[in-house]
Amino acid sequence: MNVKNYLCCSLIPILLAGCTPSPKVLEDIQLVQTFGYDYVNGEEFEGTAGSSNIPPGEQSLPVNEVFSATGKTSKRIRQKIQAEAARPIVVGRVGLVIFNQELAEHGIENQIDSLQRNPSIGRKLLLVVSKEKAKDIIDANYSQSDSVSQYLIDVVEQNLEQTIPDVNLHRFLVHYYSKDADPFLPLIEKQGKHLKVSGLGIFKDDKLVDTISFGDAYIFKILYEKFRRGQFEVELSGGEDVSLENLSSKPKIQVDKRNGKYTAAFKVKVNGRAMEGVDLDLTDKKTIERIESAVEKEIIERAEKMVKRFQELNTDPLRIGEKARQRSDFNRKEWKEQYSQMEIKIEADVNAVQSGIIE
Amino acid sequence: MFPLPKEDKKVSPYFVFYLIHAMQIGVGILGFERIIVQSAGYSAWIAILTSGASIIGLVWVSYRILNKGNNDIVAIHAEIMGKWIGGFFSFIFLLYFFAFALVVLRSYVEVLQVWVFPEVSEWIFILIIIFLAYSYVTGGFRVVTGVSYLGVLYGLPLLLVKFYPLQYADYGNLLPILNASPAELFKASKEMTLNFLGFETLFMFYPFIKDGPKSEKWAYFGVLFSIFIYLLTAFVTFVYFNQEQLKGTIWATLTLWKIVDLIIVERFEYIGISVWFFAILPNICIGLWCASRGMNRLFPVSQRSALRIFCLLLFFISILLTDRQQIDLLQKAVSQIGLYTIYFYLPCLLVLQYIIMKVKKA
Repeated sequence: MNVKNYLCCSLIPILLAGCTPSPKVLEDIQLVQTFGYDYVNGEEFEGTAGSSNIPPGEQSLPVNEVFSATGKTSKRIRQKIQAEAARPIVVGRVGLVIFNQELAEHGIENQIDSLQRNPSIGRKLLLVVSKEKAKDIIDANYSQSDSVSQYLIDVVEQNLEQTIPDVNLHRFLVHYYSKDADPFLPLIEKQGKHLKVSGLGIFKDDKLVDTISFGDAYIFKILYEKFRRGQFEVELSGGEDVSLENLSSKPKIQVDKRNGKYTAAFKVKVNGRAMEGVDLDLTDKKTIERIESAVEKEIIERAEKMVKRFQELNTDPLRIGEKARQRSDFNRKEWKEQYSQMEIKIEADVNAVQSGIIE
Repeated sequence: MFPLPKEDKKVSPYFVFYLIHAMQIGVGILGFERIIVQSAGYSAWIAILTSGASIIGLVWVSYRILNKGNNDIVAIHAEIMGKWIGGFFSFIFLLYFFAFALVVLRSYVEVLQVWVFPEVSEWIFILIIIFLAYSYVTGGFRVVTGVSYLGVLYGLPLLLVKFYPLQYADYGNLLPILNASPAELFKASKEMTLNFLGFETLFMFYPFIKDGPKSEKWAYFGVLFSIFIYLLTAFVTFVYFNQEQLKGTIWATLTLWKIVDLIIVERFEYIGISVWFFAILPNICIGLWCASRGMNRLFPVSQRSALRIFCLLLFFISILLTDRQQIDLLQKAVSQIGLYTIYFYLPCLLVLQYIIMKVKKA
């Protein structure tokens, strides 16, 4: 290349330098961390964006900043919120989306669609259903010194690991799109100065149809996924309370088809350590056996009741249908017809070892 | 009439591995899963194997033609069909190579615009990429080979992030294993073949390989490696997405990256898309190189001025394609042409060459 060519080539990047998109400086944007949706009426809904702002100064604590607006689409709401905010709203870091229970009962298809369509939204995003208005949860003071948004995210995240089934936007979408399963989301409520995970919201397609209690959510987790580090309390026939700790459990769903009739069976294997048995001799093999059978009974009874309820509501959050689909002789029409009446057995196999540091 | 390139312009036979593999892995891999799943459901991975096997067969056919002709497609065409008819077919071939570069460039810019820079207009990216491709292609075939070598190398670490979606895997998704009818599988195989297109550029760069016949095994390795990459990608995508969910996901491989959770990077897609540029660049470079080299062989123009013309054309046509539908249409058109070329034209050419050589000898 001669000198002229070199000059031409070096000129192009200089000319293009003016075309770069405007840089985003962290201090100059409004980073939204939580988003809430509330029901207004059949057409409109209210959106609330929670973000925190750290004022200049060394000792300053983050200040909670909340914006809300009502509109028919998420985009419209975002525009209105933008009109209120002093800095451009950025949604790339949203970590938690709260749906108000009433809105969830009317369906959350629009909101879900706008979440999954936006390329800047991640898939680890947490979705929850709240008993109160989402706005009241985001626009509140908690006893934590952390920013409100971070506190809300931490509470839900911690529970997803230990007490309720792990679900994020991706998991929700997998269940939502599946023809043979229905989604579920954690249920939260505000209690004084705390936020509390209080169970699960069960969906049929995009509509909330049922909620289950915190205790049942735990049984749900046992049936739904493999996990470790759980905890389970049970009352023995003699009235003594025992807790199983360091619980690890592994579920297995089996779907059979005989003469065109489907049956399903859950086989749950639970291992744990017996702890905290006042007045109980945990070194005695008989006591351990009593604990084991009590836990088994408890799991089976509660699980059967829960599964029955799902069948009555014709919803399948435990994805039994997905398991049935994996059979080569699967017929979706037959399955849909039979699901609410079919026989679903629950088997639990609990294995407890004594523990604690005193005998 | 068609002189062979000088010895110092040639590359070693094993570079064919990189050239062919780089050409086959392009923009297609960012979203091929959806297309094959729409045809054959989650049994579509079988289609990857069947179409891959057919490509191996076609590479064999290509080498038979090339080894016998011992020159590029322009010379072989002229030898078999004469100056005018042969020249006409060669011209179509090089238009195809040009269109290939166009499709890759435009599809990648679309991804860039939708995912990373919605506020930047597309001509800026197009200009930058063409400028870059031009500067590489003017360096000659050895530089283009270097680009494809680096493209393959830079793309490999992206395989590591497949680990993240596997944490959310439902392996049961793959069951039942054979759930598609042969017709559905055939349709999916046909669609999958489009992702293996690009090895035809071999017909242009064959004379640039030292000891051409020796490179055959490297070509097979290149195709096998592509099959492996596609299979792995499809496997991870299938266990991660629900089937119905996947059918609505345009760029499944990109959406997959959304679950990647690195400490300092919230959105891995941005890095992934940027790194993927190095996998795209060889496609555009090789396409442009083949097209300009063909022009130089057919018409009395230098390769450099032919390249300049093609770059200008590439720029203006890319700008004219503005929406998804047009890009889709172009993709379909090019892949249909490619499909018929490799499955019908290449075997016919082999037979024709055999007959004419026999006749000429006699």
